[in-house]
Amino acid sequence: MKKSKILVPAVILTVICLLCAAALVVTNSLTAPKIAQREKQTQQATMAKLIPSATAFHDAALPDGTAYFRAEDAQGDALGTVWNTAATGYGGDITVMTAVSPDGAVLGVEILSLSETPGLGMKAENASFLTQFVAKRMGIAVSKNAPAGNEIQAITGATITSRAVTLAVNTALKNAAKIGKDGQ
Amino acid sequence: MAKTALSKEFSKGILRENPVLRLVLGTCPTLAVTSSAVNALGMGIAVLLVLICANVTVSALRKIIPDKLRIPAYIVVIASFTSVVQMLVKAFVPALDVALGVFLPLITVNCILLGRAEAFAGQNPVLASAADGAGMGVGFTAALLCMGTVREILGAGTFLSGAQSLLGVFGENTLGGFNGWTLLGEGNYLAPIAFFIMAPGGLLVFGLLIALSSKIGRDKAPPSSVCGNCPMAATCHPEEASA
Repeated sequence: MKKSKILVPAVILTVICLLCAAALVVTNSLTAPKIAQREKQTQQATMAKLIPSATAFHDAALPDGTAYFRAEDAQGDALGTVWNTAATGYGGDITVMTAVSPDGAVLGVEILSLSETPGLGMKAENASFLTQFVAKRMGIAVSKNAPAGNEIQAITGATITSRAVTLAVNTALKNAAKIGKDGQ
Repeated sequence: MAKTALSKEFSKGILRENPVLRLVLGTCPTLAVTSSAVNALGMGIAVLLVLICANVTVSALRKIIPDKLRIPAYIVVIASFTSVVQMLVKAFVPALDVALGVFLPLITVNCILLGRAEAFAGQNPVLASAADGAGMGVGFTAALLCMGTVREILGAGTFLSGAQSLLGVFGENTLGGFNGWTLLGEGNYLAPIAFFIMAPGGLLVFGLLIALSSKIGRDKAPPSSVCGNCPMAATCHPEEASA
């Protein structure tokens, strides 16, 4: 009598869990390829936006394992490299995609994920902020006033966000410089 | 179950027992995702889907689930449906997944879902539970949309900005690529008040909406049936507590 009081509920809960797990397995197997394809598409589309003249992006990695993409045009000439880097902003990690030219200048910057304060930090997605990075070189600094030289202007009220994006871009530039040294 | 009773189960969630404004459940996602109307709508629809599925399942299993194990059983059911919805959103509305972030998986621990399973679906037939879930879900969505609309217009000066992330389900550039209106901002007389986009502004709008819904539904105090095990029941229904 007492045994069944414990056993029966346990069996029922196990069955419910098994059924739920089965439902999850089915959904996952249906959506997983679609999700992976979407992510790849987004990555490819964003890279194409940064280096429009490129016809192919090849997977590559630094000796330390950092992954990047090599952009090539139809003739197979190197157009630059694309890096995904992250830095901590005000509301979590900011993931940034940076395209770097073979001579080490920024070709373009895109935000991949951003969870900053709406109306302040979220402005980092705007082209007016991101285009400032174009043609800048390693060691970009953030300025709150009129930017000069290798500086970009911070977003008003979102200095932490601006610094984080700049840090991510600088990391990408530093990584890109490592390729140059190896003579690849 | 008669038709009138079903529509009653549905309509009670919209105003009289609105989960957000009258029962004050699930306030955390309410405050977090209502900084724009589109996010609020997306979250509302996600909760609506999970709520209907979970209510139907819990109701169908109500005679099988042992009384002692009902809470873990409910949680397993709710968590599974939440994961299913999350995978579907990731696959078909990726922009919404990015926008809702951690609050999508957190539907699992949303009090509305456990609340409805415990207070309604666990004791009522399947159809009534489905109607209850749909009504509560629509009420949740409506409340979130109200908050999102007020906060987005006042705080960011836009309305339905980013609508393509939801419309994207129907293909690219649905409705001619409609992506929201800009109402306030540069070139206009009024600048947006960023305060409303941030958490304190959300709390303020939330409080005002609760006040408004209480005013509208003044004669319709929540019936004691939903108060069940609520420790505050005596405050709302003094006459019953003293009896």
